[in-house]
Amino acid sequence: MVTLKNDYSELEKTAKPKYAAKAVRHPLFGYIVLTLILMAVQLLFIFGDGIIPLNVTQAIMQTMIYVVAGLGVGILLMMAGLMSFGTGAFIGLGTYMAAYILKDMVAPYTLILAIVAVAAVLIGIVVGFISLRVRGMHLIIITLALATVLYTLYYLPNSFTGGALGVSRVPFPELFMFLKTSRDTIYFVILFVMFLLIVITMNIINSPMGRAMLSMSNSESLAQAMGINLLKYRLLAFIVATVFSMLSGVLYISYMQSSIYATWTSGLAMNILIAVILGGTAKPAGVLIGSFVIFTVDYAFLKNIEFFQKNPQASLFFNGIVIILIIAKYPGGLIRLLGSIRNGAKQTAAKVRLYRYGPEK
Amino acid sequence: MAQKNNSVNKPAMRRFVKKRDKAYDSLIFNEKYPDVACALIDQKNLRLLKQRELKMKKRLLPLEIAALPASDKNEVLFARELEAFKKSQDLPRRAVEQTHQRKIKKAGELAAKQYRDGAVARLDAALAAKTEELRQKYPGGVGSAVDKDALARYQQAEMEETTALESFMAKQAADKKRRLDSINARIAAQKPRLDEAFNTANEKLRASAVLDEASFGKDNILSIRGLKMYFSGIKAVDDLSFNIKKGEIFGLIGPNGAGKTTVFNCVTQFYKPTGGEVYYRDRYGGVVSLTDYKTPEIVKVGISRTFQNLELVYWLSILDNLLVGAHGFYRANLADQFLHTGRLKREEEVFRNRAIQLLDRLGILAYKDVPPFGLPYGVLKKVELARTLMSLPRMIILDEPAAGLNDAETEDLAEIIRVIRDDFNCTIFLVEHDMNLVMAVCDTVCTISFGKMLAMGSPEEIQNSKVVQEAYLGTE
Amino acid sequence: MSNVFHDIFQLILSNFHIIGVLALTTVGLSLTFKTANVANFAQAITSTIGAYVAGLLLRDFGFGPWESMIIGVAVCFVIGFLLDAAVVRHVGGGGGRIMVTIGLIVLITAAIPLVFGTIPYNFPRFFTGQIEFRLFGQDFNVTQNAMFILIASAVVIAVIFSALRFTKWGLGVRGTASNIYVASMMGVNTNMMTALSWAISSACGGLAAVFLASQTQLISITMLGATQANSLLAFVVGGFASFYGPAIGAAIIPIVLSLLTFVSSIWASALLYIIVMIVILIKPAGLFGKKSVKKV
Repeated sequence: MVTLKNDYSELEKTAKPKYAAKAVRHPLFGYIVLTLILMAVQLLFIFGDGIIPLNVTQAIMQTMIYVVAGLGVGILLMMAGLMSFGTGAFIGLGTYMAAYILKDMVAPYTLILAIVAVAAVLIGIVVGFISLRVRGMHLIIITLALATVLYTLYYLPNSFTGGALGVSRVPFPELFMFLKTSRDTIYFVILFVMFLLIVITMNIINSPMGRAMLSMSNSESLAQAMGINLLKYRLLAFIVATVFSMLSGVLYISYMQSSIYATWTSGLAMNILIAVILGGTAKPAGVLIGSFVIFTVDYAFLKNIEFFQKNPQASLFFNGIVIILIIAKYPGGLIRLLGSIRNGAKQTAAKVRLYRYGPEK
Repeated sequence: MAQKNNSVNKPAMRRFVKKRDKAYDSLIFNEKYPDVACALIDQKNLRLLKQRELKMKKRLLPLEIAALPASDKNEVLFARELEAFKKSQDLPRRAVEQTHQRKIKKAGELAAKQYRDGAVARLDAALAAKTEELRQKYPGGVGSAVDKDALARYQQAEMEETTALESFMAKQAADKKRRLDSINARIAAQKPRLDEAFNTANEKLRASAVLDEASFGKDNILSIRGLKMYFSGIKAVDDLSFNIKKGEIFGLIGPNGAGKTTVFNCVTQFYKPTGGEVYYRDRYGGVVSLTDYKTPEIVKVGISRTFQNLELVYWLSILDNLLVGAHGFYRANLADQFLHTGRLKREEEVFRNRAIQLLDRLGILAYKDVPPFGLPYGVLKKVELARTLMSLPRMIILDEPAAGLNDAETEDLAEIIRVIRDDFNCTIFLVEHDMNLVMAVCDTVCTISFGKMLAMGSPEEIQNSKVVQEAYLGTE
Repeated sequence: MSNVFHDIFQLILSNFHIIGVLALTTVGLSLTFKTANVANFAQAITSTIGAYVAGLLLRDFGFGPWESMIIGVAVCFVIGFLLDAAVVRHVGGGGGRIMVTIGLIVLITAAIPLVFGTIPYNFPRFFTGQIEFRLFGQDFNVTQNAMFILIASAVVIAVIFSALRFTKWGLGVRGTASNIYVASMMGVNTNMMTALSWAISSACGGLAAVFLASQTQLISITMLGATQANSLLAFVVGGFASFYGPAIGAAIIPIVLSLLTFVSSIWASALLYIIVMIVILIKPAGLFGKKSVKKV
């Protein structure tokens, strides 16, 4: 037997360096892939000459806008355990503010986002302070009250919201003072903002403040004993939710170009809440998948099927069934459901292996 | 009894407390960080080095084989390819065995045996054919001629690779040294400033201490004086006074409804006492009145507690649960947290390191990445204990630690309580129903009943005390 | 001045039926909240089914208004029972249950047009006359129907309250409401209690829906929307702690709303919400509730 000078046994064990596996395990990998896919969809839509129907990209854009608000709601509800029905009204506030700025002056988009974000922080602090003392059912009522007050304000005749007529024909925003966006290119702006906020959401979840919010919603006495200031983190959760909602409003107006009071009901807030709960987690993946079911499926796919064109109520009906089934059977939400499907597949594969090859030696 | 010093302007005192705590946290962080950073750099370097070595071997393997004498070369190639073929036959052979087992049940021994014999024979035949083919390809006995060029190439490559590897290692070492130096330099540069900030703030606070050293007692860590807690007329705690000495295990016992947990809650400021004072020697050696602090600030003074019912966050892994315990000691601000800056990551590393050490010390490191769902009760209790230790406390308050544990687990717990006291220099203050635990671990036991003290002393004294027996068993 | 008083009082009189309807729905809401620990957002929409059934019977099957009402209420009773037995009971946690009721809203709102068609139904008044009377030298009038609704609701609520107080079922419900685990250990069939509470709550809603339909003579999907929102307010203002608190809240809310409508019709609901918000912030436990202390 000839022996070689070096020991090459390791080389055979790890034949390939596992860069791919490492990349997949990175927490942001899925989101980056999703962003690239969505980018490709829009590019196909622009250059592909009818491969992607218009209503699909429209539905995607709308979903992305609500995902941005949903991320905030996810943090508020799933991390801090606070349920708010005011999201719709705050998205509306964001649209009106952005419309006001866009109509009167030429401002770069980043500046608009920054202005609205700062305003949202202030509003979030106010809302947070109002609702500091209450929880559960009372909180729902308080946020409903705020939403109703704002709704009435939007409806009243004034120059800011345009009263019952709303604001319309808002020009598309300009990026960095010179790059004019259009109905097609605003998609990429929305996608970019969404990705940015997804990253920030992940950071919040994986940082001390995310853990603080979780322990606060778990047990307030525990949180206090661990040195967590309840007031600070409740406020913070409200601020994050408000900022995300109002940014979503800015995205909405820059895509839709118009905003009318009737959109900003607590019904919209409810839809976003449902999307978050269907997802079942504050993680962006959950919000994305829940929003996909609630906002995309109907508009992008079911509208093309004849049965649903004839019975527009039917798709809502199925939405209702899906919501109830998921919440009743899978309290962990769609993410948990997908996880258990994946686990099931893995177990089945293992069983098949065992059946064919027997136990490993 | 000394009068409480009211000359301290409270907001100003708060500011100094904050400054001092921040400086102290920074000092502790600076003390721990170099080791953690060193370990991390080592870990990363090792991984990179392994990758580099693999790359080198990948290049050298064909060259080395080519440089062998002709016969040896053929033999090596023959052996390697045959090995690879045998490996590829592993799964089919296992499948044959498995089918054989199934056939025994379905078609009987004979058919199964026939099947297996046939299949194995086919596999063996394939193996024999492959061997023959490889023999043809790499015939033996072709002499010991060495390809000079190949040998030269191999030696050249080996030399290159060895030097490359050495320079790689040297670079790594230099890099490590540079990084550690910069870390140490930064820490050294910060030290005078932090020291000064800490000292000035501490001095200020010392000067306005609420109680002078002598009346507090040199050995004491906690002194409860005339504590009263009334709930709308019900006297849960009524004029209770006792001292806890530094480094002892102090047990508070009493029948149900005696007000034990209320005393705890008054110490940790979950309840604001109706009257009386709770003095405490904080981690900087000064004496403070705990009633000046808010509930979340208590952990920063160095008091950490567990709960009667387990209070763990079920959506977080055990490790993250421990990190919750260190929450008050992060210096990273909100912007750091939103953007996950290096500052936050460095701090996370330090706390993670501490958490892993604690889990290892308590023997539950294996659970670090799982959420607390469905883990044994004893393990969860230990997690709570480890979490209290995350804040480097000077006093740990345990609320009925043995509740729900079996005898073996209780003995284990007693051992751990002693370990915590000795290894982490903590004073332990516990409320307990389980007399076995109290008598086993406590240095001093205090019995209360209906908010008033009955007796205090060593466990033996308490056991023999007539008053205590009456309180527990009723008068005859 | 007396003119203003006349207008206000007349406004309150014309809202008499709303007081009755609101009281019924609020009592239903508090029943489910106390026993099943869920704010039933879907109560309005399940009740609307009852009104639709009554309207359908009246239009297509030749039933009279009274029979249709009774059958409609009975249908609601069954729906409530089934909802708890089939869905809500199996959902853990308050947040999840609230979401289930919201899912029910989506589901039923979509299902009603599929089953009953999209055209609103009509429903006659039980009594068609007007009651006119003089007070302090002013003329007032109120419809007989509204008066009937108010009195009938009061009777139904009185029956429910006395049942809660004096019957075995009432004891079971109160036990379940105060502590479901202890109650189940004491041999109370808590599942049955909860399901019955749902059924009765839903029947109350159905009755309210038919009453409202008889006053407005119209049945549509959104008929109970405002009532649902207001009954949540009444519930919170009254406080969860007792069963009667919400009922008193239900009497207060429409009166306050009438007064506010008098101040500004656009701002009325917003002002009502602001007032309720202030009440909650000052007294988080509600006007008639008591504060509970959490044990650490």
